[in-house]
Parts: sequence; structure tokens; C-alpha cells
Amino acid sequence: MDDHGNGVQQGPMHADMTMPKVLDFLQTEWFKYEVDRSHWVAEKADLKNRIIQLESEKKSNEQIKNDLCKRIKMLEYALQQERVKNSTLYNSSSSGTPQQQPQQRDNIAAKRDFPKSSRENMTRAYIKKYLKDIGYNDIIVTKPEQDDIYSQQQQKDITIEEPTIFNFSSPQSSNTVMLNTNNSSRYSPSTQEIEQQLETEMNGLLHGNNDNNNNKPPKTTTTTSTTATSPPTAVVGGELDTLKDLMQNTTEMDLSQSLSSLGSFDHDSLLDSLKELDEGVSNTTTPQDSLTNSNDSFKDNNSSSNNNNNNNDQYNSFNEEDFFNKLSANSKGRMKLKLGNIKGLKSQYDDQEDDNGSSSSGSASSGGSGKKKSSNGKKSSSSSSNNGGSIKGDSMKKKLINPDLLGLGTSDLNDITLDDSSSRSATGGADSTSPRTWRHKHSLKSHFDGVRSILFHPDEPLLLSASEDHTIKLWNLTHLTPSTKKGAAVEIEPLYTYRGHLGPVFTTALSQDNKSFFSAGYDMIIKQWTIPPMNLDPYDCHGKVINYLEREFVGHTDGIWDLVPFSPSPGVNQLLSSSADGSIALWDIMSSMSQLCTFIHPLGRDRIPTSISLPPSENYRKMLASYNDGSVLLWDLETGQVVQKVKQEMPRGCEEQVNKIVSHPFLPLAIMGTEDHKIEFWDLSAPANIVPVHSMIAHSNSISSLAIDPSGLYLSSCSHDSSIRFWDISSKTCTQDLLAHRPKFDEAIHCISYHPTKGYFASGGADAIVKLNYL
Amino acid sequence: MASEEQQPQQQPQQQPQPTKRRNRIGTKNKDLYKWEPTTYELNESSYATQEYIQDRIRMDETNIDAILRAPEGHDVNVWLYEQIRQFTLELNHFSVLFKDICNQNTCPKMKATDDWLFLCASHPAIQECSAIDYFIHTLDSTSATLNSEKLFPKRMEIPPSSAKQFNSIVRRLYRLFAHAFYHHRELFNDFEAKTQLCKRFTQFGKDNGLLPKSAIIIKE
Repeated sequence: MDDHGNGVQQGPMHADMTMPKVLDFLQTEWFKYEVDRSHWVAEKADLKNRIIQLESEKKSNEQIKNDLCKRIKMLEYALQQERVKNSTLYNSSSSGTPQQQPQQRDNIAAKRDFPKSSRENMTRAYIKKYLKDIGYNDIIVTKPEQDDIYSQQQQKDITIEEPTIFNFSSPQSSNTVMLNTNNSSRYSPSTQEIEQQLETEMNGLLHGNNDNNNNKPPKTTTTTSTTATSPPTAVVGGELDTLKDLMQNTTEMDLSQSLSSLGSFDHDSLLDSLKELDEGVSNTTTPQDSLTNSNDSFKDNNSSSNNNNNNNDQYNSFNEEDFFNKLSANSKGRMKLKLGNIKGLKSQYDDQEDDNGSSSSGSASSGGSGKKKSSNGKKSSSSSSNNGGSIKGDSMKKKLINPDLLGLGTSDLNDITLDDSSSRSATGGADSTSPRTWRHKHSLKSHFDGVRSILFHPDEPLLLSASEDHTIKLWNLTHLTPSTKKGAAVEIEPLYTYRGHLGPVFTTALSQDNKSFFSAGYDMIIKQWTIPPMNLDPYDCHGKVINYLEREFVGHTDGIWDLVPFSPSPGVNQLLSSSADGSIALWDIMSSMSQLCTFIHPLGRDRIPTSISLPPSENYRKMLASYNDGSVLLWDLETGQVVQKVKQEMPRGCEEQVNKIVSHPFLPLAIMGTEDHKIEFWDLSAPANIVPVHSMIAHSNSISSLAIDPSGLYLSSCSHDSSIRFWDISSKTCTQDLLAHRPKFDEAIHCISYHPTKGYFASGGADAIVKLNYL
Repeated sequence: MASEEQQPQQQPQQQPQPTKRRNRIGTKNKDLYKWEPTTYELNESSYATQEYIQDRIRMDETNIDAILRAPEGHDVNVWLYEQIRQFTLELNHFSVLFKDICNQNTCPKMKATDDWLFLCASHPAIQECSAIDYFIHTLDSTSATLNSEKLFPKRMEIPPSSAKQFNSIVRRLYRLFAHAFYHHRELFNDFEAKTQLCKRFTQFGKDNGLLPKSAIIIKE
């Protein structure tokens, strides 16, 4: 009987096998099976996770490996370069020709036979000294650079504010700068920091298994403290003792950090330190970034050669490898500082005004920063992870701040708070000379109410602005050009005013062929307009109210807030529209006027789409849609199904609405701006994200729109706090803060746009003004 | 009694939740501009006057007195300027309604009554335009004038010399109503029943001496 227990058909034939028993048996079996199955599923999920984890580990390892290779190559190159220079220096009296290089090499080889410890001591002291020189010289000869280091210092726990005034000058320039206490007291310790960082780097790279590691820590302390006050730094008006004390106090933490890393050296810490340095880059790893980085370090090496002449007597005795490592690491570390400096300085400037009103010293230093930025601006914009930290330092600079933030590019922007003083000063003169600074050029006034959308025409010098006053205006930007005179306000009238919408216009989008554009808003009808000839006279005879209207798309039952035209395949032109009726509709532009299909949030129509973006990394076959409940969905446009929930929805009634989502032009990266002041970076390549790659509170009010620079390197955000901020996407640091548009109601700036090819940037605000900025 | 009881109930609800006076992206049409108007004195916005006028209009478009009554101590010229801006905005909307019924063929001449032919002053030399072109040109030139950096560099402060512009602007804008009244009565009546824009505009012109009695030609 039991043998036949599994035979279900036979069950009823046997006396024991009553129906309930069989059912019971089946149920238990089924239950067992289900339990097993759930175990398997769980196991499978575990294994899958493990695979993903391992894969990502492998990926990151490869990335690190690549980075290291790059670095080694860079260093090799730098080494070659410097050998040539070295030979010149070594034979300082005679002409430094490349032929002498082998000679010089022999000498260095001879030097290496010196007793190790004494040699090390000496060389280290010299390196320190030398680095000091180039560190300053590089920057200061042409322009004072205190602010550079200042910014780094700002992130630290420095609490000393001594009423002394230092006056320092670089060896090669008579350029003396009056610094106030904040500046100078921060000055020396932070150079020290750089050095320590350098040292870590250097050791990490070349002396990974160095036996001498044990000797190093004490030396580091002594040499840095002496060199920081050594002649090249020429502390004229200050007390050396105070300075020393100060340095010892303030760098204690860094010291201990770098010491520990020196003490226990292994492969891991090397990777760590490298990773820290490259964190900003490796997040997105744009090729441009690594390019600029290496370029910069070469530049630094070159510029340092000037200084070599001055110091050639000390120079003979040191280990060139050490030197180069320091150099390259130095350049790297310094690069990171660049941006923050400006900011830091500016906030410093503000502080000065607030604290003691000694604006004279403040203006001196701010002028310096301006000069400095003019030549270093490129570097600063390319990678400057410190800025966030410096902003933070501004608001809470007297508090203790996590030493992790120090110059390592790991600054977490999550908790930055840009206070108003820094943002205001940012628009001031200090950074106006930077090459990558947007400057306000024109205000286009003609609208009567908030400007909700702006569009640049990619080929023609045309700008479109759509407003809540129910009109869209077309501007001919060539009419602006004669206005180079400062102060002479040019008045340009719109080339044409599109009337036709019966209500506020919320959004516009240019068609694929650039010959027409779409607009939509309150009145639920999408309109397609052609662009009139450039020589149109607005007071020409039009004959009727509505001109240049090509098509209308009727179907939505509430206001329309976003439009995205695209062509999924050649010859097919489609349009996506998101409406407050809770749907995103897909329209075929050419063949039919009706909606091809609609996408409705799985949780219902009360989840209203706010913004749409087609990630180029998905070949325009998928659509990212953000919703007013804070969720972001990835839709498949062909199947009409949700592929992935990129971001989870938030509980109702909170302020987490995503206002704008943009896709990076070539990285699988989505960037979104939310109502609760945040910008979030989401990696679209990672399968199941729970948290963004990066999230930061970027404004003091809700973020209304985002735009990515055509190069893909920069992001700009605008907010109802009246400011537009420009961000370095790789380092996530703010490169500029532009104050624009005054608020009307609780709205300030609605839209921003980059010109796709020319250096124009436009913003439209609730004050009915369109502002044009030029690079 | 019932209405008196409701009032105190509403107030405490508003206080703890100072809703942002903002139309978020994705706001439904019915929820647009859905906020409590602030009192003018407490409004520190640069555009408080515009906000005040728009709030009044959104509360009740037909309550002309409330819309046209300036807050106490308000700068007269700024008040007139913002009112005219708002009228022009709404006339832009009004003009769209003419899309199907008025073009250069139906109304080749800009006329109200047959006594007068209005010439378009938006051109370097005054010329005759069709009615709809007169509409467009007048609206465009009005927005150019009101947004002129020379005449009105700031919205907070109107140079007294520029205030002279108001007369001609109001006079020309009034003709738009007049044309609609005499030639497109059905549209005019529909629109007027809904918005009372013409009534408000006429009263605004009369009250502020911008519209001479002889110019008022719309008479029911």
C-alpha cells in the first residue's frame, strides 16, 4: 500500500486510501515541495547577489589596475622629463645639454651608496624644501595662491585665530600679499598636509616594501615643521614659534593618519590612497578627466623646472624617484584644491567683512585669487573634489570636521550647506576672471509672467521662451551682438510672439529636424510650430492671430508638463508627453495625431509624471520617467512595460517629488533634482540600486530644473532659491554659483538651458525675464 | 451662524501648514495657483504688486472693485504699471479667441464704429493695418514698451516721465475691446460674461483718468 502511496490514481481503490487521507498526503507533499522551493529561490537569489557582488568587485579591481597603470606611465614620463632637467641642473655652470644625462645618472648612482639613513634624512629635508618652493612658486610667482591651501585648511579642525599678520613672498617674485590671520595661519599647516599626503602617495607607489619605513614617521614630523617655516616661505611678520605650535596642533590628526599608513605598508593601503585620490574621477571615469589630470601633472612638472635653477645646490643630493613621486602627487593634490580655494577665499572675504571689517586685506587676497584662477581655472574645473568640503568649512569652519575629508577627494557633499554669503560672493568679482565662468550678459524682457521653458536652436541664433502669460516668444540673438558696450542696455524685441495657447505654457521641445518645435501647457493640447524666417519683422502683416502652427495633438485631459521628441528609428518621429492627468503619451508625429500608447504608473493615475528623459545609453528604447511621489521608473517603449524601478516612491505627502530628470549623454547615469533640495546621481548600469551613487543637498530650496553641459562634464541646476549652480559631474563639486532671477510667489527660476554648441547659457524665471549668460 | 463657525476652523488649518505658493511641475490644472493670498503688507516679494493683482483675479475674476483697489499707500504709478501689464497679459489670451473669426479678410480695416478708422501706431510711420494685425502689433508694441529698459528699467519704481505712456497704451488697448464689441459681439459677450475684462478695463481707465469719456465707445 505504501509503495503505491505516490500513485494517485490508485488511491481511491484502496480501503486505507480514503479521499481525505490522499488529499492530506498530497497537501503535505506539496507543502514540503513549496518549502524546498522557497529555499531554492532564496538560495538562488543569494548566489545571484554574490555573483553581482563579485562582478562589481572585479570591475572595480580592473579599474584600479587601469588607474595604476596610467599612473605608472605618467610617472615614467615625468621621470624621463625630469632626468633631462636634472642633468641641466647638475651641471649648472655649464650648459645643460641632454648629452650630459648619462653623466648625471652616474652621479646619482654614486649618491645612492651613501649611508642610507643620513642620506634619507638629508634628501627628505631637501625634498621638503624644494617642494615648498615649487608648491608656492608654481602658483605664486604669477599670482598669490594662499587661498589654494586655505581651502583645504578650511575643512580641518583649525580653531586658531591669531591677530598677527603674515607677509610672505615667493622667492621669484616681489609680489607680496598681505594676508590676514585666517589665511596665513592656515597656510603653513595645510602645505604640510599636502606633503604628508604626498609622502603617503610616494611611498605607496615606489617604496611599497621599503625597509626604511620605520624610520620615516619621526622624520616626517621634524622635517615638515622646519621646512614649513624655511626661507622660501619667508614668513616676514609672523612669529615662528606660534606657527610651529599651530602646525603641530592642527596637523596632528593628519600626521597620525599618514604615519599609520607609512608604518604598515602593503598593497591595500596603496590602493586605498590611490582610490581616495581618484575617487572623484573613478565614480564616472570619464576619459576626459583622466586626460586632464595627467596633463596637469605634466604641466606642473614643467613649471617646476623654473625653480630647479634656484635650488640646484640642494638638488644634487636627492633621490629623483622620490622627488617625482612627490611632484606628481603634489600636482594631483593641488589640483583638487583649486576650486575650493576660490570659494574658500570668498567666504573668507565675507567673514572678514563680517568679523572685523578689514576689507583692505580681503580685497587684496580676492584679487589674488582672481588672477590665479585665470590661469588655473581649467584645472580647477576639471577636478576639484574639495570644494564641497570647503563650502562646508565655510559654514562650520570652527567645528571639528572629519579628517577623511582632507584633500582626498572623498568629500561627501551630502551635508554641505551653502550659506547665502558664499553664494552671493560667488557672483561677485572674485571668480569673474575664471575662464569657465558664466557671466550674465543680457536680460530678455518681454514676457508678462514666469518663463517656464527655454530652448536654444542648435543651428540658428534663435532662442525660444515659453511663459505663463500664454505666449511663446522667439528671439533673434544676433540682434544682441552690437551690444558690447557695458551698461548700454540693448533692447531687443522678440522676433515673433506665438499666440495660440489658452493658458500658461509649461514646456517646449525642439523637433528632431530642428525646423519646428512643440509646446504644451495648461490647455492640454500639444502644438507643433514651425520657425519663421530669421528676417521676420514682428510688425509685419500677419493676417491672422495664429501663424506657423503646424499640428495639434489632442488627447491629454490635464496640463502637460514635459515633452520629449525622439526618433526610435530613421524616418520615424515620435513624441513623448507627460501630463498631470497621470499619463505619459507616445505620439507619432508624422502619420497620426492620436496617442500610440500611454504609460501609466502601476500604482495609479494619481502618480503624476513630472519629467521624462531618454537615456542615450539605452539607445532611446527606454524611457526614464520621474513622478510626483518621488519614484523613477524605467519604461520599455516597445513593450510599454516597466523594466525597472530606478528609485522607490516615497510616502505620500512628503516633499520628495522629483522635478527633473536628465540622462548623461554618454554614461549610464541619470541625474535628478528633487523638491527637497537634492540632486541625486543614479547609476543605470547597476541592476538593482537602492541608493543613488551620489546624493547631495544642492540648493536651499527645491530644485526646479537640471541641464547637462553638451560636453557631458558639467551639470547645472536651478532652484527656487534664486540661484543657478554649476557642478563638476566627476567630482560633484560646485564650480560656480550664479544668482539670478528674483522670486515671484515662491517660485524663482523655472528653467535653464545650454546652447548645444556655443558658449551660451540661458535661464528663465518667475520674474518673466530670460537671462543670457556667456562663458 | 454656520458661516461664522467655519471661519475660525479654517484659520488654524492654514497656520501650521504654510503651503508654498508654487505650482510644482505636474500640478493638475485645478490645483494651479491654489494658495491663500497673502496680505500685501506682509508680502516682501519684489513682485508683490503683481502677486496681489493676480491673487485677486484668481479669487474672483468678476470682483472688479477688489481687483482695482490698490493697497493703501501704494505707489500709484507702480500700481498702474502692474495693472496694465496684467491687462495686456489677459488681452493676449483674448486675442487668441479671434483665431477663427477675425482675419485680414473678414476685417481688413481696424474699425469699431463706422465713424473711426484706427491707424496702427506700432510702426515707424503710422499705417493702416487689418484689425487682427492691429491687435497683434498693439500687443507686441505694448509689451515692448512695458518691458523697455529705457522707459521702465524697474518694476518697483516707475519714472514719472514714463507714466505718460500709460495713456496711449490704455487708449490703444481699449480699441481691441471696441472692435470686438462692434464686429464680434457674440465672442465679446461670451468672454465678457466669463471674465468681465472689458468692464474692469473701462473702469480702470476711467478711475485713473487714462481713458477720456469721449473715447469710451462701448455702450450697451
